[in-house]
Amino acid sequence: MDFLIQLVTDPVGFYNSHTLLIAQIGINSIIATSMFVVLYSGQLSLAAPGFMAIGAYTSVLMDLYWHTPFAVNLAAGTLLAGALGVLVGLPVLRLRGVFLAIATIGFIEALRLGVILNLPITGEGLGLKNGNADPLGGINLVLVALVVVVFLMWRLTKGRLGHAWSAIRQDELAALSQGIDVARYKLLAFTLSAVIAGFAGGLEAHLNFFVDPGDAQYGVSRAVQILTFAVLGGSGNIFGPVVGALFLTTLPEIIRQAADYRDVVSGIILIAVIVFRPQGIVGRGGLAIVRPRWWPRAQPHAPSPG
Amino acid sequence: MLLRLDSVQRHFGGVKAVDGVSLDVEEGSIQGLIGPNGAGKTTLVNVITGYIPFQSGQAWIGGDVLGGLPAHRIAGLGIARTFQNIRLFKDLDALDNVLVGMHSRRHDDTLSQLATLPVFRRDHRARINEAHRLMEVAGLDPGEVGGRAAGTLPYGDQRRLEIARALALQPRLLILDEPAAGMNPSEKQGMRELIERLNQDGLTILLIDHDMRLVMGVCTHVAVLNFGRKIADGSPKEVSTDAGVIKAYLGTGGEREVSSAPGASGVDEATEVVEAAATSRVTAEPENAILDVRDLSVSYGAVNAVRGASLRVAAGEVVALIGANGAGKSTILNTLSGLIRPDSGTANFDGLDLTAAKPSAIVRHGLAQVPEGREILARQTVLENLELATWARHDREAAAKDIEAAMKRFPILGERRAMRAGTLSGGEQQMLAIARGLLAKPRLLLLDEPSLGLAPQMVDEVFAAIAEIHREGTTILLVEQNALRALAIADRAYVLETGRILLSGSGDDLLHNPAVRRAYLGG
Repeated sequence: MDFLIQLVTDPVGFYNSHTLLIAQIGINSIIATSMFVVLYSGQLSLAAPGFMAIGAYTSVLMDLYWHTPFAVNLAAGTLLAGALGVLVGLPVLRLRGVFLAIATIGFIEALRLGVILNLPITGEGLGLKNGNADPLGGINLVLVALVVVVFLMWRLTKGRLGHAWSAIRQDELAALSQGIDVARYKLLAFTLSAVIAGFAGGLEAHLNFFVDPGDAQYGVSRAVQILTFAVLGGSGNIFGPVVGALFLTTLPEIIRQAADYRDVVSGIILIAVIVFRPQGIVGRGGLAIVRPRWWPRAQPHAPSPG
Repeated sequence: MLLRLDSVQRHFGGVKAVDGVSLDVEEGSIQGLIGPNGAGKTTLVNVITGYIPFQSGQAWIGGDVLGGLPAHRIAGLGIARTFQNIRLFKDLDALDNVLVGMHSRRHDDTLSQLATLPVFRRDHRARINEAHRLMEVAGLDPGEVGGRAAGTLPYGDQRRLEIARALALQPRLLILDEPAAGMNPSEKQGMRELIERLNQDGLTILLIDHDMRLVMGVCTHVAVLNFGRKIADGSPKEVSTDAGVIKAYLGTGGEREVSSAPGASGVDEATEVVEAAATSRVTAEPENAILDVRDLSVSYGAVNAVRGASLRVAAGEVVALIGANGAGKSTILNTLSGLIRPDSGTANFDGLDLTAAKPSAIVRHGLAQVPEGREILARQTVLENLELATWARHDREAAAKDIEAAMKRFPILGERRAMRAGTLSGGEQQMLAIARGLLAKPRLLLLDEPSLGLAPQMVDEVFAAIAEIHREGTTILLVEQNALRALAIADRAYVLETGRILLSGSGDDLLHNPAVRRAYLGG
């Protein structure tokens, strides 16, 4: 509660005392945008942590070995993630639904367990020191980047490309019959998602003095967390996943007193949203609550006589 | 010639879905394509539109070859289509559905979009105006429906919206796959007027529909498919009196030749439907009915599938429910089994209210259904399928005996007891489905399309089995498209047309009634 009270009464003090939290919200929101792009085009891809790892390691390693400026490192990590997105996307986008999800989990685990934890250059599981990190200076960059990325994606969804993605998400066959090159647009979305994830990964690494190759960072746990942002917030428009990321990243702070039960509380909230608000917090129908079929009606009408 | 097909072929394993079909569609015409269930109409459309590749043969639109092109390229060449089971982008609003349709003739504007340039706004405005115009052409009020999610529109409007979306492609050829399915007569009239209006504006149309009144009324040429082959092609009049077509639609009555088919027989063609109906109703309905259905109305969302149907079945009878595809036959059976709840009306089976009882209670009360398409468990063995049917029973030994008895009755099942059910032929699978239904020890057995997709010889065997089951005392309510076959074994029958009972009478009586042919073929 103190947390929320401070937010209202003393925003400046709040900002100064919670910069790391705010930066993390920004990062998670950008990654949620990456998740949004694939979901919006109807692809249940969980590959984002893999592309984040590419962005992060590329950027940090370039800094360590070549001492290039951060902007160059970040751009290189982003582009490399995009290139890998095309390579991974070409074969796996033949899969749909849960099979695509499994294949992308295979990709992130192969990358993390097979490559990152084994190569000497990535620290063989011990992680990497990132001496030039800038936790406090990075935050402005993160917030500006978040606004730009969300704005661009919001514009994209309103145009020809966004229409094509929506159509593919709703019905691939019908999309084909309208002359939409489904395979091409799916690959485009997958690649764009990889670019955004790589960018977010590079940014995130820049906030920490240590690159941790753990499961919670670049593994399945992170993938599930990112998916949860989109499920909770809703994936019908760009603001849903962002709201989901904001909410879930802040939640542990709000319920700090009940920290031991943090996972229980977030689990209950997630279930409640899925049951009563299946389209997510942000979605069609304003803020209407959906009554599940098994939920008793408030007051059944008296049966008419006869 | 706008569209030309030359010996187009598509087989799925041993199933010859499209088997060497040649067809010419003239520029500016309305070409009808009809055929019984499973004739290959939709497969042919899917081949033309590139969803399913050709195996051999070739097709052209104008001067462009279609074979080998991906579906989105074929759409770009100007072939637009609608879908049998409406495939709108349900969560997008109606306007956006039409805007998506303009995709292929809209240049990529992503950059001006990202930069929010005024040129994007201007073009966008123009597209919206055009989309509004197309919706008006299709008979929709853009102001009223434009902003609503497509999935929430009334059924008829969804059909119209699909046409508006197809028109957004600016097609040379529009393929309508059952545009009037599930519509009531006045909606159908509206659809007919729309098709004629589009054609007058110069659009060539390929129309597939089961409503023969619509097809025969609106088309300039009609082609008929059966078992993947084209069996007739000509004017509506030529086609509707073609003996081969009548046989394909009404089926054959086993030993009876096609000459005894209604319409092909000596019965006066001029007999009015009403008159024929009046004479048929003379056959009294039974007093002591075991199944009593009154004024049953069932709908799926906005589609009224059954409108006030009443029927009665007495113990020991075989009663057939016949009618063309989409007439509401299966819906009635599914309602009786408790799988669908009716909007209004009553259905009573031996003291049990079928409109309220749980499906499991209905089965325990002695009413079992053999569903359309058999619904057997393809990966389980024949024996396992039968054992599952007795799963809820507590008398294990008696159940095992019943299974043995079932395999004696259908010896082919006994021989194949250890084979996976999916490897059986269609007729054998039907036997298995019937045997499974009988294990519930029903007093009333509902059979839904037992002859569907079977070769004539297998149809004979299945119907012989049905007659045998009836002799042993089970009451049967039979739904069939193969009208002649069903009428030949039925004591009484009801003819269904678009959700209503058109006429009823004894099997023999209806067998020679031209109104039956009309219910199937229009005219």
